Amino acid sequence: MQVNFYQSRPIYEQIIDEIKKMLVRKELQPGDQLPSQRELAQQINVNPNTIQRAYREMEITGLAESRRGLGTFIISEQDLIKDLKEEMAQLATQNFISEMKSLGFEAAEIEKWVKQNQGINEKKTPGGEGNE
Amino acid sequence: MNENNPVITTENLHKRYGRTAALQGISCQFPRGKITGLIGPNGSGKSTLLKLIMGLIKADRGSLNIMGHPPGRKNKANIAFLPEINNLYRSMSLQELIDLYHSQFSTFCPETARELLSFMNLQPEKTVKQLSKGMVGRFKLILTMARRVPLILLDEPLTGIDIKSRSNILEGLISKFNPEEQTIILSTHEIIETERYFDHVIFLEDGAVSLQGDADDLRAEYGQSIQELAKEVFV
Amino acid sequence: MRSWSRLFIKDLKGQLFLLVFAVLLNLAWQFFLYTRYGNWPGELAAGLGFLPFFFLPLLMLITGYQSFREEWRDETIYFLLSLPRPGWFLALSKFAAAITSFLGISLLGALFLYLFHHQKLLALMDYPQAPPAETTLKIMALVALGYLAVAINFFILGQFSYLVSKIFNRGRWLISIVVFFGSGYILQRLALTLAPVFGWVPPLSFKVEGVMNGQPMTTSLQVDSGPFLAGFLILGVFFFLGSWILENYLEV
Repeated sequence: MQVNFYQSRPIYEQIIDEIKKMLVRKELQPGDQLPSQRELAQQINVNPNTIQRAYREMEITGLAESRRGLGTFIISEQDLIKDLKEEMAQLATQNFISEMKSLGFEAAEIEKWVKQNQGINEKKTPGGEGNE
Repeated sequence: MNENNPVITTENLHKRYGRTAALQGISCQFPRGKITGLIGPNGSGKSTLLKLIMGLIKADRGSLNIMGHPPGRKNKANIAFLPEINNLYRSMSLQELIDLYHSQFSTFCPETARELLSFMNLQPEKTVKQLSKGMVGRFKLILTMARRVPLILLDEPLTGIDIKSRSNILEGLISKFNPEEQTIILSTHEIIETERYFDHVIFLEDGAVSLQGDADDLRAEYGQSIQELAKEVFV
Repeated sequence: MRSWSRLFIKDLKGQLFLLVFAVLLNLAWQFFLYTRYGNWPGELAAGLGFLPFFFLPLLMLITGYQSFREEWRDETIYFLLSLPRPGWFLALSKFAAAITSFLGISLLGALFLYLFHHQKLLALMDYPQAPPAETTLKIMALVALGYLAVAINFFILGQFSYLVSKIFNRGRWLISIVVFFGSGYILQRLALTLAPVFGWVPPLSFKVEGVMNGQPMTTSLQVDSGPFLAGFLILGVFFFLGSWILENYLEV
């Protein structure tokens, strides 16, 4: 996991987002075990308490579960990735629309912009996950 | 989970140096098992507060409770303090100082110290006199982190350390931190590099607490980084 | 125990420079006097060999005063006061280091005196031959003990004066001087007052046999031990008082 953290958002939320992205990108599978809190803290250079909060939050929202003595696991839900994709698409779209609206565009123009940019492939910058 | 069992509680703490009031009635709590950032501009009272906790200076008024006791000998065995100034014997070599600390503190781990020495590229035979300011800063940190104690106080641990080494050092610090057994309080006016590690922050200005709370909660509430928040809080 | 001895060694190393300097200076002085034998009256040269011994107590005073002053100056006091140790623990290691240093300088000094001047010194005494070793040794032991007592006295009061003066932010020099002489005065008065408490302790007495003006003679010297014991007790009080101030009252 490679994360550059924005300090203006709660860090534990960003960690959860990154895990969700990893699931959507198939880098992580439902049912996979997450690294131990200590390991992950070392890996991404974060306070172990923050990892603990992230894991706890994921357990509360049902994204992950902790198994006594074994660790924390992503739930083995079949539709998980589909649900996440929808959730993240919804969020991305809402952000896009509110951004466009703040620039003064109306709904029809926004649709036009989307169609215009359909064919263009996003170039992946090296190690660029998480960079915007 | 540890909200009701703070490691340090202060109430109406006052300290003045001559005519200057360094602390004007501080009442706050430091949560156990967390990393608390004590943030404020120079002269805001951060060092004073840490020295009071350590028992190196005495309060004029108010109460201060650390792990169930007032500041004093009982607590000194359980607190590792990194002062801002150079408190090392200049003519001693790094190895000699490690031996000295080992002989004085039963909680001192010479293996950890050695490990950190090489991690930070310091040579044990060198004397303190021969070190640059940055090296002294790094070594002081090693002496502090090599102690397995429940409370670690770091007063401006990054001063004098070059930008490149800072992330290195903070990484080293985090790798040794065990939240089940330890609490860290870090005072700094350089927030950008350190805020990602804070669980809790206390803003100090002119000897008073301007704002305090959980770091991530504050980010969510104000929609800003701690650094940006500080810019607003400290007029 | 190990932690104290480690502190003691650190303080002893701190004394090393002074020790070497004092010993070399003494050596140079004795050698210089030795070279004067041809030109100066022998008694003068040999007698002046004792001069360094007059400076040692003053040196102990300065060492005592500096013992914590240098820790504050170098800010290493932050280290000492962060230790979970009582004040006397810290003060004792400095005291022991200073006295060890003192013993080294005096013993070597006595050795140099003997090496360079013993013949001339013997000639100074009125006896046609060297007095019995036993007597000389007894006298020397008494003098040495008295000298050590003076050194201890000066060190402890010097250290005490500094610690008391550190309570204040201004006028430290003046306060130190007042405290030093004041405590010295109190020491004397109290020692005499308390001496009877130690009345049960037998006095130090010795017979000195020798030859004077060609006649064999025996005198008995008696030194009342009461005032000395009381004096040490009071010095102990000053020592612990200073240590208490260090631990509970002073700030970095």
